[in-house]
Amino acid sequence: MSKKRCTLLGAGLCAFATMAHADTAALALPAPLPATDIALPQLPATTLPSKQIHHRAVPDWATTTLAASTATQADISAFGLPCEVTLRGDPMPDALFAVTLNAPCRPNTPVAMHYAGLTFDVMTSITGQAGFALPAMTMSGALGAVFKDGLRLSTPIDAPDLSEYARVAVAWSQALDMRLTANAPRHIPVRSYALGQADGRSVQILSHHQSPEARRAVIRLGVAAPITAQNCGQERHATVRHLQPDMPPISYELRLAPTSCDQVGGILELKNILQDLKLAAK
Amino acid sequence: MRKFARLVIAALLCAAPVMAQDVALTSRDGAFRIDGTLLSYDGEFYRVDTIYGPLTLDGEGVDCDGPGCPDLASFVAEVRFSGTRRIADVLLPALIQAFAERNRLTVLREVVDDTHSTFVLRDADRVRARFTLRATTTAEGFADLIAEEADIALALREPRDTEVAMAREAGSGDLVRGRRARVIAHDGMVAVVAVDQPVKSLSLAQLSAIFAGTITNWSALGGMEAEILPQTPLPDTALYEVFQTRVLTPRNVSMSPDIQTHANLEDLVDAVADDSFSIGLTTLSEIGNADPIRIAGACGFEQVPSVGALRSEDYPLALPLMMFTPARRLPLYARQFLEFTASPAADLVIRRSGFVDQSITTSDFSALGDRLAHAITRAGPDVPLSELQRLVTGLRGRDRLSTTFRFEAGTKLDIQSRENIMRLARALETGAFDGKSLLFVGFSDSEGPSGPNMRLSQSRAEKVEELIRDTAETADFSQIELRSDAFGEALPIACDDTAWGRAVNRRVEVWVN
Repeated sequence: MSKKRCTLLGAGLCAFATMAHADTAALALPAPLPATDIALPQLPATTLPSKQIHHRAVPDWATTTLAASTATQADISAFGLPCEVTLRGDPMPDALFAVTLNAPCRPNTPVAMHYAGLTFDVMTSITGQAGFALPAMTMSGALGAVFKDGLRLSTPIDAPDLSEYARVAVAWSQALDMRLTANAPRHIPVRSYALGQADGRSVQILSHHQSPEARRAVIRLGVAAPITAQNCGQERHATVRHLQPDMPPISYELRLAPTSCDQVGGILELKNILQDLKLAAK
Repeated sequence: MRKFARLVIAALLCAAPVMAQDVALTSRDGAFRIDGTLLSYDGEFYRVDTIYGPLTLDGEGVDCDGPGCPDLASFVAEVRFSGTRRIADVLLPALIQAFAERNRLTVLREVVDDTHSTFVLRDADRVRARFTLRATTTAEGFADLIAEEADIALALREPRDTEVAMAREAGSGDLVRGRRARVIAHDGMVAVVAVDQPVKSLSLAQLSAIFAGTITNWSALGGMEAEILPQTPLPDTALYEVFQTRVLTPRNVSMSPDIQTHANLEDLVDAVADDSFSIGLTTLSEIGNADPIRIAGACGFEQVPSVGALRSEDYPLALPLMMFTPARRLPLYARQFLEFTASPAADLVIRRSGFVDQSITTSDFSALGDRLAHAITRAGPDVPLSELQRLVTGLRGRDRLSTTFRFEAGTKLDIQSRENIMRLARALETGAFDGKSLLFVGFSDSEGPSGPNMRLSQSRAEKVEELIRDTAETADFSQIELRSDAFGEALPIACDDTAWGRAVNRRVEVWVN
């Protein structure tokens, strides 16, 4: 699957796909794209040239997009699907949820996802879908999807097995290439998840499953970014959420001062701003 | 002039070089007027440089006129913290967050770099306070406090004589007198090794020899034939200094010059965890993925660095985490924050951040275990068996409070114990011990003859009881029984062969039922 097509289908699907490959101890986000194809609905190779289809036969007043016209006429999408909008989150192993947003009459549309105080943007696919794996960040909460026109959907996310997980999530308020980094001992596997799309708000999550016989361990957390001509001089805003077994969750807000554009080519690295994950022995 | 009486006027020793502006402060009834240059306004009080010297006036009682007057409606409290990274990195951000949540304020942390941040606290209307944080060393924290570049110094040790003198010279008052210092939590200095290093217990003499460079091979410590790689924090840190003064100097040695140093304790600990032959100096709150070493004594006692041992100061290398405040008045938000750090809500935050809070916990008589066995084996002419039987009869059925009082010399309490007096007195005032009996039990070290030791331990216990009675002003003593008893050198916690061991043994324990 090409990177371009991946974007087209919604970054969420890609995040879903990369998840399986992100099981590494030392890691750097965002996770790489999958090396192999995953099963996806068979779609036309290119974007539907809806205007061209109608151009020759219909008068000017009718040259709206196929999707829009069918939608207004019969609540049916360009692909003949009902326009009903749905959002669901199905539990998966590892305190993950398979999120499916279905909005057949809202293809290629940005949607803001809100969950546990974290916000990220996804894009619906050409068929109006978005799907991704969401690591639970609260025992009991709700995932909300908000379209630009104000349409809101919500689905409960209840994760009773979350108490076995140590997780940290960082939500970046703008599309900048800041990475959440973790340094854990070899026997502490840390998985990483990336939510959201490259040019919008994104969330990075690190997760460790603490087995019942686990011994005390510390996972060092930091953030890093290359200083580039594009991101220098810009402020970064982040929301951080920590989850640890037997501890109440912590959230805090950060604003990182802009780096100087004289430092382009260097690396911005902050090692003491995020609290390390300290895991107690079970 | 009644209004005048309401004004708090305090001549301050030092005028901060704040931008000079003209103000006229007039009492609300118009009876008097003071002209001067505004030095500062903290949301409540004006500090004005006048012909009488610097004066502090209560804003409630005066109206301000002139170009220098602050905008009262938009006042933002500025509080600057500076000092040890042991407090600044994890504990202080967590405390600020909890303090804000408790006061229904939101916090945004503006990060300049790894060592400079500002916490912006706002309510629904506007920004109320800005807490600026500089994460550096204890020495730098004191320097900033003295230079009035910080309002609160974060420290792992008490100020050195040179720092006390410097503060006096700079007109910032006496750093060691009055309530300038407060202990907010406890930590301990520990030596760590990799998980797979078999040597896990060392005496202070052995530790000292390792860092002085006189023991260089693990085989000399009962370990493998391999060179020891000691690692320490930088020499200008309090941790390095405290190790030097408490462990090396008493043995007339100093730190080996060839030791590898680290700017970050995290890096040090990670390096040790990755290298089986390393040993590093760190704190109990930052042992990362390495294992802490137990401190062994020649008489057979082993001190385990644990939360319980630190809480009762039974571990020899305890490090109190302290905040030092200036002689001048701090803004309301700063005072409220300091008050918050001593509250039960803060105790919870302190525990979760990996430090030892000062809340009062209990352990029952059976926890004496080893100590009692040790005392019985040592029974003899100094401590006859009958004395131990008296001890068992007196303490069995009671629980020991974690609050323990220790003495610098004679009956002078150390800094942390003075804090403990306040804590215990406050608990008595809230009625936490109503209907209970508190027994203050004095102990001594075994230096010198047992008779005077017994009398000294008795006077220590009585002193603590008296201080508690005086401090807990609003406690209902008809509901609480307070008594003192003493057992001299009967029940040591540590070996008396070292100065620290003797210091740990000179104590007053509190037993409740």
